[in-house]
Order: sequence, then C-alpha cells, then structure tokens
Amino acid sequence: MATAHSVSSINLLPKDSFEFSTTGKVLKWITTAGRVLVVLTEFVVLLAFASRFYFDKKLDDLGEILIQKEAQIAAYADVETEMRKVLAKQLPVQTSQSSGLVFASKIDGLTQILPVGTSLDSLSLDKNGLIVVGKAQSEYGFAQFISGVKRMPGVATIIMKETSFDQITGGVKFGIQITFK
Amino acid sequence: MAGILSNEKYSLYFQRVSLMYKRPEIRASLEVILSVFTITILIFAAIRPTLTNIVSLQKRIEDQEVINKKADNKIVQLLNAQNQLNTFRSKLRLFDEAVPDNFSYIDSSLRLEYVAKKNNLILDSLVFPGISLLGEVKTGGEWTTKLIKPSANVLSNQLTFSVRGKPEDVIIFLKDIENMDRLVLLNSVSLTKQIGLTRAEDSLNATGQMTFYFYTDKQ
Repeated sequence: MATAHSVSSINLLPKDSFEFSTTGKVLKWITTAGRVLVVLTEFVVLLAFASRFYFDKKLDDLGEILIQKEAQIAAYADVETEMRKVLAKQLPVQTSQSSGLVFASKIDGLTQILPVGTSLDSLSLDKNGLIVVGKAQSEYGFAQFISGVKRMPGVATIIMKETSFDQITGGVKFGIQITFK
Repeated sequence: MAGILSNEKYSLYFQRVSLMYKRPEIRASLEVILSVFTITILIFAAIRPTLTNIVSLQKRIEDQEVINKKADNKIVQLLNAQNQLNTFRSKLRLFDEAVPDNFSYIDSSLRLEYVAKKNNLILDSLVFPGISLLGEVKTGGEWTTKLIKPSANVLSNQLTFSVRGKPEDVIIFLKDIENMDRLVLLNSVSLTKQIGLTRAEDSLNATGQMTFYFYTDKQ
C-alpha cells in the first residue's frame, strides 16, 4: 500500500514555474472556461439552426391550413352576403320595436282616461312626450282627466300650462305637457 | 538561390513561432484571445441573425395562429348562419317586405296614399328629403348635408306628411301606418281639430314625421 502511494506521487515531468504561478493558474482556468464556452456557443448555434427549420415547417403548415380555410370561407360567400343582408334589415326592425312612438297604445290609453264631457283640441306626440290642449265641461272632469294622466304608464313628469276657467259655461280650458320616462 | 534563402528564413520564423507557442503563458493567452474571437464571431455572425429570424418567424406564426382562430370562428358562424337561414327561409320574405331593396319615392308615397284613401282621408302633403339616386355626391354645398346617407346598408327616408279627415278615420290611418307590412316608424304626430259648421263636419288634421327604411348596397 505504502509502495503504491509512493509510486503514484512520483512526477518525472519537469516542473514549470509559470504553471504554478497565479497568472498561470488564472490563464489555465480562463483557457478551460473559454473552451467550454466555445463548445456551448457552437451548441447554441446548432440549436438555433435546428429550431429555425422547426419554425419554418410550422409556418408552412399553418399557411397551408389557412389556404384551406380561406377556400372553405370563400365557398360560403353567398351565405355570408345573404346573412349580412338579413341582419342589416333586422336592425331597423329591432330599433322600431324599442324606439317607436307606439301611437296606438298611447292614443288608446288617452281615450280610456278621457272623462265624458272632456275633449281635446290638439295633441302633439313624439317619443319624448305629449302635449294636449283641450277643454273639460267641469272642474271635476278636468280633475278626473289629470288623475287619469298621472296613472298612465311611462309618464315621468306632468306640467300644466295655460289653464283657464270660464265662469259662464263652467268649463276649463287646459294645456298639459307630459314627459315620458 | 534566393528561394532557398527565403525557405530557410521562413523555416527559422516557423521554428521561432513554434518555440514561442510552446511557452505556456503565450499559448494560454493566445487560446483565450482565440476563444473570445470565436465566441464573438459565432454570436454576431451566426446566433444573432438566426435569433432575429426565429423571432420574426415566431411573430408570423403567432399572427397566423390568430388568423387561424378567426377563420375557425368565421367557419362556425357561417355554418350557424346557413342553418338559421335554412330554418327560417320561409319567413325571410317578411324582412324583404318590411325593408325592401333599393330606394323608391313611389313605393313610400303609394303606400301612404293607399292607406289614406282606404280610410277616406285627404292626403294634403308629403315632403321627402333629398337623396342621391345615381353616382357619388361630392360634398361641398350646404344642400349635400341635407341628403340622406345610408348607415349600415340601410337608408332611412324621413318624410313629413299631412292628412285630414274624420277624427276616427285619422286615428285608424295612424294605427294602420304602424301596422303595415312595410316597416314605418312614426317619429312624431300632431293632431289638430278643425271645427265644422255641424259636429258631423268636424275634422282632424294630422301632421307628422315618419321613417321608411330601404336596403342599399352602399355603405
């Protein structure tokens, strides 16, 4: 055992002072690190080249898929045109349902609340509100009409404009502005 | 003679260089310099352009994938559209009746005249807005701003009307207008009572604004 140890420690190579100096050690380490770095860089270069082929292939495949899909979409061009036309025509229909004047229901509602002996001389209706000018045979009839207007659905504000009481006939001439919600 | 001398000279230089290269400090320094040089060359001549290419390829792939997804969605939507069109094919004519193709003054006026006549009313006036019937209109004059312009392939023709007749007939006329197969939107109505000599001769004047819709290929 002792003989083996002594044999392994024998070094017949001439000792170089530079190899054991600090500069020598640092340079040796830098050289080794440099070799490793060169190999790694070459590896990265190879990897970069290989990955480029991979991405090229992927892009080509996607391009082919897109060409097929474009052809499919082109085949449905008539369906698209027809659907767009239907949707364009549907839009004003939807708008009219939501923002229409709904004259029939408003005039029917007004007729229902109009007491006997009360008549309207003029009526202006738009989507924001209603202006009515008329006359009632009595104050009671006018009060009934006002209370009916208050109960009308969708009414936000009621403004009484010129109102006059006729002593001779006992009637009331009125002007009312109604605003809808 | 000169060639032999030159060969000897170069051989001497070579021997000197190889002796210098055998010196460990020179050998190590040279290897370090060569390593740095090789890495620099590889980075700038091979890795950098390849990475730039890869980045641009990846960007193109991402763009293509987005387009691919949009194409998938579009195909699904087109299939749904075809199914819906097939399902509601018999009812699609209602849209064509409500919003006919191409603008026509006559279409709107005839409709109104017909409904007015049906209800024994006198159609006093119909006022149509301006519209470009052929070709592109160059904007410039004040009048061009008053022309109707299509929005989302639909032309909204707002016209002003004035009718008169028996009060109950006027009310029915306005209700009929709202319930026509043609889509007509009543924007505003103003009713004014006209007192006659007898109560039976009382009449009602109706003025207002309504909108007819037409489909157009122009945007």
